[in-house]
Amino acid sequence: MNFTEARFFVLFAAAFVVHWSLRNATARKLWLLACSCVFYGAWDVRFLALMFVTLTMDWGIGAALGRERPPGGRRLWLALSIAGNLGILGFFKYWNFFFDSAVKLAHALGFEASPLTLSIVLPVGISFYTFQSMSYTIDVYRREMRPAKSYLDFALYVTFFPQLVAGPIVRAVDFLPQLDSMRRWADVHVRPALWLFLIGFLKKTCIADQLAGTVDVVFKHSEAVGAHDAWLAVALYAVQIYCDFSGYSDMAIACAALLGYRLTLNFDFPYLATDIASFWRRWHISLSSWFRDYLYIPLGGNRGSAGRTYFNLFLVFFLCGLWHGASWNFVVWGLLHGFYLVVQRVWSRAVAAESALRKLVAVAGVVLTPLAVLLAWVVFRAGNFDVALAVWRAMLGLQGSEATLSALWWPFLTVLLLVHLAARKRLVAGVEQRLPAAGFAFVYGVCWALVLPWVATGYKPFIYFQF
Amino acid sequence: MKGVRTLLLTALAGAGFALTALGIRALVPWPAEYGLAAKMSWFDEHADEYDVVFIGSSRVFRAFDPRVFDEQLAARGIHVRSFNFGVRGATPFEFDRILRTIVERRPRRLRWVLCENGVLDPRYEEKNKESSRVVGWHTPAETLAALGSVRCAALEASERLELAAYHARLGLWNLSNYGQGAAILGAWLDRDLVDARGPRMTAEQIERGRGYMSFEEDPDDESSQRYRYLRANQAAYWERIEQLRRENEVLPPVETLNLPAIREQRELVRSIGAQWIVVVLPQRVATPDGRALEQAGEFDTLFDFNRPELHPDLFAIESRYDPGHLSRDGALRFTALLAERFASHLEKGSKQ
Repeated sequence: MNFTEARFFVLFAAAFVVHWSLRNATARKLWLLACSCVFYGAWDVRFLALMFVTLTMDWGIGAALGRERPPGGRRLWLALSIAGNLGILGFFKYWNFFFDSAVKLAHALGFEASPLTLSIVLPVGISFYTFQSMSYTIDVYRREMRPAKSYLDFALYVTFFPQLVAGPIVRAVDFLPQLDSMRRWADVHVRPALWLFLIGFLKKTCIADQLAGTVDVVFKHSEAVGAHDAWLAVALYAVQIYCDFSGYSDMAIACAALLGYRLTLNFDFPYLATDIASFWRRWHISLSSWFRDYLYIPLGGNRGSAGRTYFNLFLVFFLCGLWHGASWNFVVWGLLHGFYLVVQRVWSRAVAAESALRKLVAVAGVVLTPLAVLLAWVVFRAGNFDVALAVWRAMLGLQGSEATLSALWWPFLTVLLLVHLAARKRLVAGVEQRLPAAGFAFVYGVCWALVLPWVATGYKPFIYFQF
Repeated sequence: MKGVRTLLLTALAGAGFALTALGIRALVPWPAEYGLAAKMSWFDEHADEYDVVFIGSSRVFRAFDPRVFDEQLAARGIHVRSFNFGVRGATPFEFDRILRTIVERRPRRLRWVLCENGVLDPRYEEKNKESSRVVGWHTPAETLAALGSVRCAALEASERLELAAYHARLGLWNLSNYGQGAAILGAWLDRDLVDARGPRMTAEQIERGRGYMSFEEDPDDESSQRYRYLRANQAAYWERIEQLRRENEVLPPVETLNLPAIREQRELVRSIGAQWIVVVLPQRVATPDGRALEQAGEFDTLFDFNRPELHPDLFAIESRYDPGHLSRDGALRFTALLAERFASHLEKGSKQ
């Protein structure tokens, strides 16, 4: 089930009412764990066991790391956690990809090879919960936190249903302390949470899902589209993927908040970034910070030579691309962003900070950054290189026909941009707090009645659930 | 105290939602697919011109020619003006919704409502499970009727539960105008913005045939395929008809048919001073439920034409465009037979 389905509202209502009715902390955690199992089991009950295998392994390793003193022994436990998590992730997500790629390479080199393709179902959310679980063992290894006090706490941390299948990737150091104390209703910021859920729902169902059909048509007929349709479709896709993913994150954060728990911010107006590094500090923050803290910095980050820094960036974004999907188009997308970051670094080194040219480019970054991101989205969405190349050719005006998509989409995008800017400037922030309780309740009901007609009917799974 | 406050605030939110949803509901147009919105709009404008209206599915749409019907009756001294309210793809729940809308309109001249017989079967077609048209007919009255059918029908408990949840969900979608934004915007802009399957009907087409249109005037690839299939598989067709004849003899228990909904239809028609006549059209599946309900006294009047032994002409290949629908020739035969039955019914009534 996903957050926009009626049965989720039923599950959440039950989770909410019982959670706040229970007076015992352990009982509350058990209840939330049970709800999380129901939530995940609704996707595919077979993979509940797999998730518990992963989290039990890491809980045990975390406990062992808490006891183990010698560095060698501790490194061994950590290696076991990483190997176990990546092994499970690698098998379920990348088995067929690696074998197919190896076979193609063998054929290209003139060798005979037959693929060992298996019919493997990808467990929903595996990329998220394995990374979440690994972050725990790594932080315990680094002594940045103590091991979880109980198996129940750790199990709830990994399985907590608001963030289970599509993030945010929550750090144990942020979440586990919240389980130490009983949540109090008085501490819940109800109105912002309710408002955030509504906004997330609107972004996902009324914007992202509505745009999907138009985008799909253009990418399906990529060899025939012209420049107008190509640019429009890519712009719409940029909005679609942002609204889909950030909308889901909003709903996840809101649900957690209504249960008394705080989850990390995952999107911070990324399309308003003026350079690529800033974009990655604002887009899928929980994932980019994960790669920064657990891969980029341990590799040396930017502390070494320029060449080493560039290598680190390419490697991190190669893996980031691969994380998004077992397909070379995602890898190329990641490498493109790695390339953008390298270019930015080279530029920063080559041009003096106070120079007029640097300032001019910084201003141009308002346009250049989203443009670079848009161009990269093409290969992310395309699914294969033929389609990506066709769309890029169309964007350059090198193919295609007259416009078939309505030009009314442009004013629609302009309105969305203005709303986005207004939200960034917090022009209407806190309005919900200024209303009396009865007024807010009534207005909230009115808003839902205004939103529901614009839902794109028909089940559409969240884009990021494929990761 | 806190619990009471929370409940009150929730109720206020519900009130805000309900009032707004009700206001928006008035803006939601009828689904445009297959001529439903066009016919509804046409009938609303011309309702006071008709004495007879025939509600049903594509079987009615392709079988009942009002101009021929009126001419045949006029030859017997009965002067009426009739309208074909057959809608392609309509289900019995949609017949019911159309009937309620007509009754609300209270047409001044309307004296006879012919309604295609159809079991209020709560099961859905997978491909149209959540189409805007299916959501469209899930008004509160129809949702309750559908839930009533779930209760009566002979179903396994799990299927009963699943169907009840399905109809309740679609009823809530209907009440909340879920997904109707494009239709509302389209109606306001007078543009077709709904990505719906199915052709539309124009006012000229409706006026020309008074709601009727034969396949021959309106061919498409799918119906042409069915036309060719019938003629290439005649033996299979006749086997099917023979099976139909046998299955017609096995009357189902009326308790499994949604009697309250059927009685409500009868009362609705009576409430506007009209007579309710149920018609079973010739088709390719058995319809013993019609006779079962007639024998149980639930129908005022039943005209059952789905009887190969009584109406062989309607089952001849020339009368059929495809196994389930009549051709132009078949429509002429059917309409003439219907006119004759209708006239006899009126004459019998006037003698009593």
